[in-house]
Amino acid sequence: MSELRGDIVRLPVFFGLSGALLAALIPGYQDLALSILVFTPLCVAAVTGVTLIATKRYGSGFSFLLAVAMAVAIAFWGGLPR
Amino acid sequence: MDYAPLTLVAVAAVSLAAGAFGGMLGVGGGIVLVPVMVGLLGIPLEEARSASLVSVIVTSLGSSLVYLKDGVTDLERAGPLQLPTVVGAVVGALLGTVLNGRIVATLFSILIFIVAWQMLVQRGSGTPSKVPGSIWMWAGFACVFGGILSSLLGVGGGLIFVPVMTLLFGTEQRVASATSAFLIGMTAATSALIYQMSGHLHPWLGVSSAGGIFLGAQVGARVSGMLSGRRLRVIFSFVMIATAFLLLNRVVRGDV
Repeated sequence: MSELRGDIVRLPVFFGLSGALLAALIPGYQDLALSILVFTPLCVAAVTGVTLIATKRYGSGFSFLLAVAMAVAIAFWGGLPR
Repeated sequence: MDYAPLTLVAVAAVSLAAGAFGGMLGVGGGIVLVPVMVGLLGIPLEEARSASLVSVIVTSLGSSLVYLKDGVTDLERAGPLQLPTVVGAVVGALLGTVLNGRIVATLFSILIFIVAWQMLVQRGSGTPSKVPGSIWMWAGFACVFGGILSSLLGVGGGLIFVPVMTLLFGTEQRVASATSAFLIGMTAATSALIYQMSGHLHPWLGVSSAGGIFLGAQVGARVSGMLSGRRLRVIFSFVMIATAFLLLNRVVRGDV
């Protein structure tokens, strides 16, 4: 894993953590902070997947994207039936 | 349920310690957080588990910032392992509604003892250039299992992912810890998303644990580079054994 690809993947991590921290400090926005935190790994995995595909690591790349798609599908369904 | 400010401060303090420990070893810290929150602070298991998963996400992101900068994380190998962990997380959330938690926790404790023992007796490791397909299959099954445990117990799943990489692939301990720290984020996010949709994620509890654990994770990831692979493995093994005892204690007390 080259430095460049590591740096690209670090970007959504940095922005996600910063956004969550900012929201957590504003009274009444703790729910938003948690939502940002929960969705940040999904963004990180998506960026990682695209980066790996761009460097012809198709298996690993599509595996990340499929995992993200599964989590996003759950989010759209509004959770699992209980 | 509303929590007293002192309880939230206590959660933040415990999270700080758990974050340092988790970042150092590539585990989420949930293995410390959940027993302490339920056993000592009297927080309901459902809310403790959800808050723990949020702190696992923060540990993962905080550690990954450092590990990715150092180029230690094996993203190429993480890909095929990430999908089964997410499948496991979804299955775990489904199982959580029907399976007795005491049975799962007991099985988990037994598994930890076995893996800890294997890691203690293991000697030296090298990274093979080609990994046979059968090993990938077993790794996939193990990762599904790790995802299920993560979702059911509110832990990161690093307890499974690190041994999978060191024992099956022969990955160096620090690379395995870094890659595991990366994997647990997405796994915990999937579970946390499901619990958030179900209304089990308390905002202040989540923010307190997340804040404490972020600071601890930064410390842990930096300290990890100062320790040798062998020493890290021994510490990890003893931590796993201690966790197994904590879990068994929870089972006996009926907290799980």
